Amino acid sequence: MIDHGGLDINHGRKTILGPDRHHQRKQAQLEQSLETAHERVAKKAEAVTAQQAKVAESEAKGHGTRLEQRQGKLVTLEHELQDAKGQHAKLAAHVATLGPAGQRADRDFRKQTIMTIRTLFLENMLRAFMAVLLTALPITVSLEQVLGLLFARRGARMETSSQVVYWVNTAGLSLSNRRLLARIVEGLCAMDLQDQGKPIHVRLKDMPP
Amino acid sequence: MQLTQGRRTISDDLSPDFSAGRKLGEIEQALLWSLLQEEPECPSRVLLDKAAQRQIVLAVSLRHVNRWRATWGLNRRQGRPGHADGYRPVASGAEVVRVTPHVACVGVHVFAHWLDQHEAFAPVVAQLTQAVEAHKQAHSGDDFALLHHRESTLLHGFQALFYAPLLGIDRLSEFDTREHPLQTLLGHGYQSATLRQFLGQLERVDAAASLMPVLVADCTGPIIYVDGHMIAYWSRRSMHKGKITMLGRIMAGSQAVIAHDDAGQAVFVAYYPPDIHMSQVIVAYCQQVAEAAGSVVFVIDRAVNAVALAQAFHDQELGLLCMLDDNEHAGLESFETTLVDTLEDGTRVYSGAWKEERAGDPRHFVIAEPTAAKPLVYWGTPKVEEAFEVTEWPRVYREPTRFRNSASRG
Repeated sequence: MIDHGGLDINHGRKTILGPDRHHQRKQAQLEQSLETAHERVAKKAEAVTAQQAKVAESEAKGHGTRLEQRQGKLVTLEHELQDAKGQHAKLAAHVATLGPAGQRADRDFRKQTIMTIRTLFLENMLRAFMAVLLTALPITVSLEQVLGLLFARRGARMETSSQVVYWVNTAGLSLSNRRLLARIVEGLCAMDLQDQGKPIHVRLKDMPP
Repeated sequence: MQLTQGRRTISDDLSPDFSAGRKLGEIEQALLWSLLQEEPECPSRVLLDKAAQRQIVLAVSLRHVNRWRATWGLNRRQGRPGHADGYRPVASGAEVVRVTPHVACVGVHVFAHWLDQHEAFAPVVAQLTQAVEAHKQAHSGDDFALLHHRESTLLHGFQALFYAPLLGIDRLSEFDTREHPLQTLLGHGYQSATLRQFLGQLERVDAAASLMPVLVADCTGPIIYVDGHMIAYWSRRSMHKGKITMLGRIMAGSQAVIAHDDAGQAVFVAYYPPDIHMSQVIVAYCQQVAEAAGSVVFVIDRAVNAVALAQAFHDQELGLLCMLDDNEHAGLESFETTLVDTLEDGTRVYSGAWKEERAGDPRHFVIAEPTAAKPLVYWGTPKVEEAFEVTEWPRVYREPTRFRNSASRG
């Protein structure tokens, strides 16, 4: 059977309104960066404070070279603190300019849900039909076999006042498939199918193409 | 075969029981019979021509046709056809009503009879009618064709769409270009424009939501299995929207999340954009399914360590059965276990919890340890524990393979 979910009739011409997820993602990333930047500023500020204490200690103890080294490092740390603050301010400005979350009209590529419902309903019905057929059959037959051997085949129909007869064309079938189809047809006849009160009989028939 | 010598009368209600003969088969006999009912005075030569027009070639002599006519009592006297009134009885109610020598997709016709017999479309028509009425009330200014359709029109339109896949039609335009047996199946054919309009109007009245209860009506099992189905959309045009895939390419499409019971009966479907992770929507989705189907135990075929998800399900009083990601455990060593069962194939089933207690983790674990393979760890929320014996968990988890093997929904 062909892919029976394939009735694709929605070609993206419609649009659906929804939250702007690109904006949401950007905002989430920026907020995370801002938080990291904030932590970095706090860390740097802490390092500067610690270094200032060390410089003060060196000054109190009258260090010479070590004081220079510590003062040099303090300058570096203060620069880093300024950079971190600058980065934080930049990100904060980005967050401010991002604005509130809006809506976005996306092109709708979804298959129409009604068609999916149709497909699922068809599958449910086929499954129920198979369940009934299998109770009437002494063998196990798959849905694919029934679809290929019975549903897709040509045949003929005759309606009399008392019955309806369907003939299934068996031309071109292998012997094993013909036997299998005969079993399926037996099962169908045992299902007590009716059309407007008339019993339905299914028979096999070799017909020219 | 009932052989009747002599002519039949109107009161004669014996219907011929066609059976394959050496020269004429059942269908050929039935066709001859029905042609004779239409025109009993028809000469046999003309009868053969008429049969040929219906693409049935009767490779028999006139003499043989005449033999059958005599058998049925439908032979005519020699000479030109006369017009004498009442010479020949026209078919009484017991004979052939109609012969269709060529029917495509015979099985679909039989299936259609089965569906009609079980009134399978009655709930569909009822729901569609209800949706139309609701739309009329909500939008009194609207006026389009669907709002004026009779039930039979709704039924036939839906049936045309319903049978399309079984008739080999995978696009609406193929209703115009492909030979299909809708004429014999429904009594009339359909053009794609009609069905496109029908579909558009169904969408307008939000028929999909109305038809969801039709699916739920078939739900029989206490467990609901949830499957995701990602549908890509491919086009030559560049698309600006969708999931960002490798190399920054953008894939447009959608993901359908389908719920079905343990028998494989689909009960619910919803669509989400492809770039939304399932974990963001699954709790709300399962709540919807639980409201519609009444089942509160869900099985999702994923190997994850989703503690937050498990907690969310637990908070909503829903049950969730999943597998644990292999990277999250080191086999039986990670758990405090008790042997609960040994399966026929030698697989030992253990039940237990984390060896080191983890705060905020409501899950219980079942470990299936096959004889010659790595252990499989299943986890379930307390609701699953209430619903099923722990020895049942591996079976419950493996059950729905039929659905996965069914035809894809592209």
